[in-house]
Amino acid sequence: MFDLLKHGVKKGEELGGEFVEARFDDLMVRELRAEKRVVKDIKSFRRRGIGVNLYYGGATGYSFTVDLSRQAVTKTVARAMKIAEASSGAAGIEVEPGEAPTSKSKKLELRVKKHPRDFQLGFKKDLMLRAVDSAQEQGQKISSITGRYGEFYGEKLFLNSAGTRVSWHPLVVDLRLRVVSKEGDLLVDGADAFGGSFGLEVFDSREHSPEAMGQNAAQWAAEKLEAKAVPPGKHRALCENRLVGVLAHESFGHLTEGDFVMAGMSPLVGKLGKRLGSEHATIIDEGTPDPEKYHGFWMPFDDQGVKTTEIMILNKGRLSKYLHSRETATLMRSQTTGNARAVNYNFPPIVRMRNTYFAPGELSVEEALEELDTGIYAIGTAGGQASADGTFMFKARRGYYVEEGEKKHTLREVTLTGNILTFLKNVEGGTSELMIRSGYFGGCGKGGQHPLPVGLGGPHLVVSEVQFGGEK
Amino acid sequence: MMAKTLDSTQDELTTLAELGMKKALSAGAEEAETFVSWMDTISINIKKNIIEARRGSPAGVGVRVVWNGKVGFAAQSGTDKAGIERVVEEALAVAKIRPPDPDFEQLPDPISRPSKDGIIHDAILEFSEKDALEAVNNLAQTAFAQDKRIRSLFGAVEVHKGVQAVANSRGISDSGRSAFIDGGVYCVAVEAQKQKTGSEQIVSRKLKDFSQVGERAAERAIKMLEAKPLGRSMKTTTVWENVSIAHLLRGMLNTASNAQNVQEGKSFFRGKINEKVATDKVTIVDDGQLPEGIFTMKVDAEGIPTQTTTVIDKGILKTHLYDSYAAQREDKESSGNAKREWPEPFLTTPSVSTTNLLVKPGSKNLQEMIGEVEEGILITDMVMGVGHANTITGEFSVVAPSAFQVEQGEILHPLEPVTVAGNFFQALKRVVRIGSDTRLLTVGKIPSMILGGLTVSG
Repeated sequence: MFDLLKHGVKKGEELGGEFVEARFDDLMVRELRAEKRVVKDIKSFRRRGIGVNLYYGGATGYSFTVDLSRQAVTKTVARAMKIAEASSGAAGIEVEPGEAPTSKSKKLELRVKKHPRDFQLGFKKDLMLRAVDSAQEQGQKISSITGRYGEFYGEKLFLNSAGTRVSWHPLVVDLRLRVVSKEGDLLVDGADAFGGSFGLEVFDSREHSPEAMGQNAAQWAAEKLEAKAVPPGKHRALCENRLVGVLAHESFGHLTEGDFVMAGMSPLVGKLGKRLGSEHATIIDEGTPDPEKYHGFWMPFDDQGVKTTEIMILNKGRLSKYLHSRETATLMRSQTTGNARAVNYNFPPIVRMRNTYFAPGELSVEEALEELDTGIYAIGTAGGQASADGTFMFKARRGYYVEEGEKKHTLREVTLTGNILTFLKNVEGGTSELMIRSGYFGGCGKGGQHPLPVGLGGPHLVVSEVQFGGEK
Repeated sequence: MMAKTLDSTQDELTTLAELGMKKALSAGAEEAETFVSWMDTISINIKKNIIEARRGSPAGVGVRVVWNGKVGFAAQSGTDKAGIERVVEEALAVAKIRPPDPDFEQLPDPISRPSKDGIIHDAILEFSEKDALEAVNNLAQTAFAQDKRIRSLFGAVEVHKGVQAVANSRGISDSGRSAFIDGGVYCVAVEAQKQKTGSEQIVSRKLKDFSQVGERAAERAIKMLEAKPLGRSMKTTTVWENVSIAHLLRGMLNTASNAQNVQEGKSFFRGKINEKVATDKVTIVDDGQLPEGIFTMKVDAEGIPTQTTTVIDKGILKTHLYDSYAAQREDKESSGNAKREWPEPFLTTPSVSTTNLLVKPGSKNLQEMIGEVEEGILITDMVMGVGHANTITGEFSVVAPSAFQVEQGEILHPLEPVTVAGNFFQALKRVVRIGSDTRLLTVGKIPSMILGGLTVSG
């Protein structure tokens, strides 16, 4: 396959391309869904394609093919050149590949005990149904139970004009469960999930077993039958690990992306080195958080063949780095941070995050609850969204009203809104444990490229003055 | 010229679909369906003044087989014949390990209903990379020219031309095509310490002039620079501009009207046929045959002719929406609502989805509607958090970055972002007014609406 990529790069250079990058993705994807015990859906597909990015006259052109013949690659390169030529006159700013370290590596792979490729679909179906059964046994007034399993693995190859030549094997496994309970017209849900770059052996541990997942989801749904709405307004908050991760990624991380900064979209333009948050706010973006300890998305190289490292973007409240691809780094006279990623071969790489998390602090969870005193303990994430000015809206999966450090009652819809720049100033402390999660389902969307697997996480954070929305 | 390319692609894919179906039968499948798609995309993005351009055509094959009464599906990118054989093998392997689904009867039989593709405009088929570049530049320049305070923008123009073909062993062999252009811009305005955004988009099957898109997006952003905080939380009347309510409405109705969700207990519309689910001002139609509709196609993703279905008639729920699987569970006919996700529909099995939603317009325009409101909030532009609404229960909480305070029928001033929360299905029973200002969007044709009793805080 490297021969085909080499052919592409050579052809591109012959046509006048000043710098050529060629990628090959070959991913096997499997997805299962069960409604109660009935397996409703099994998806299994393989997606293979070659993408070519070509720099010419201060512009780039990207094209791709699913036909893996030499002829098709030749045509693809010609198409990329045609777009680059057309763009080169129109662009207001010249895009250059700049300098980046070259790498050579072959078939880099995460070591796991039970790789999903060695296990039949039946085994994965059983994992999912064990979770469903457990929820069925322990739930109350159950209206529906949805189990999901997803995995992808395969190989990614990259080659460019500068001599970088790498290949590695991505891997993600994910198990999720959602229980809906119903009483009269009231529908409530509880959900649990566990996903990341790991083997199926993780589900052997009691903590992450399908049975524990079923019990959690069922119990959290049942709790909500009795839950109250959050009183809308400002509250002190204790935000749990995954929720904190979404905040780090969605509302802050995106603002540090070089293309947003370049375009003048980000409120962080010109703020490098400036204090933005309290000393308890440190945010890191890295490619390969220790797979022995955490459960993020393992990616040793980005889609420009750059080896990933640990990048601190917010250091004790001070903005320390923007995230870059080769192009944004060159335009901003910086170095690439290995953040160029494409969701698949349909797209060229753009600046994206990898595993983004708040660094842990020193409190225990009990101490954090005491610090919170009276307020809202918001747990998990049911998604979120943020806009370019730092405004955000995030939904926690569930929550509790806490009075004088004691959990009082369950909350139904827990929605946090605000501006991340205010939020960061109000961080009063973090707990000492660090949790990072990734997965097959969900993922990040940007510029039409969705869903890109990313890791999210952090400790628990105590934050003051958080706006909660909800029904009155 | 390009229409011919689309013709020949359509023929090619139909032949492939039939070939794949036959291969699956000879490999041992009792029933088989092959779906093949191809979509050419030109996409030009601009970020302030940096251009990102791409062009290519994802294509592939998805095969559904029935073996021993069990269903298997597998797919692969590419349309080479050897690839199709591998996909058939994998689909059979999946079927073999699947438990029998007591609710599955068979792949769909052909249904005879007149139907056709939507408008295909030659100017869209002939639109080149160069044309798209010009359009994007134009869009960006008109936005910047509108006001000095426009600091930055993201814009895009995309042209999509697609063909899908499906053949099954029960005699279905049909195909459809579609071509449309989509252009939009998201502007950021900055003044003093304030940063505000505005967006505007046009999607169409006919060629459009994008210069006004830039102006309007810029105007929206500039207006918001005067925003003041609401400073309280209240239950109040909310006036939603068409673009603001469209995605929330579609998300909720897509889940609730999906017959499979109904059967599985995950729909608010379960057991509510012929019951009042909204005020009598509300009539909502799912129209897979709307000529200008973006999701109009001759047949759906299972080869069933699409149709026009009235879902809510003057507040009364008339029907749910069906693909063949959900229809067979109730001994009904599919309503032609099977969909696979573009731009790579071959990757997924069909599932129930709305096509183009049409909300029947009222008689007053947005200005006149505002004129009727004593006290309330006007929500304009895109709202955030629609994707995270609970479409099963109807609970939602969105952030509106472009809202205005309304008093005595007048817009007072723009507001800093407000949260709007409540239950959408309860709100359908409190629809005060529907506007005359229907707008064509990807989700369908949607007018502005006034809803009562939602909580607004900020």
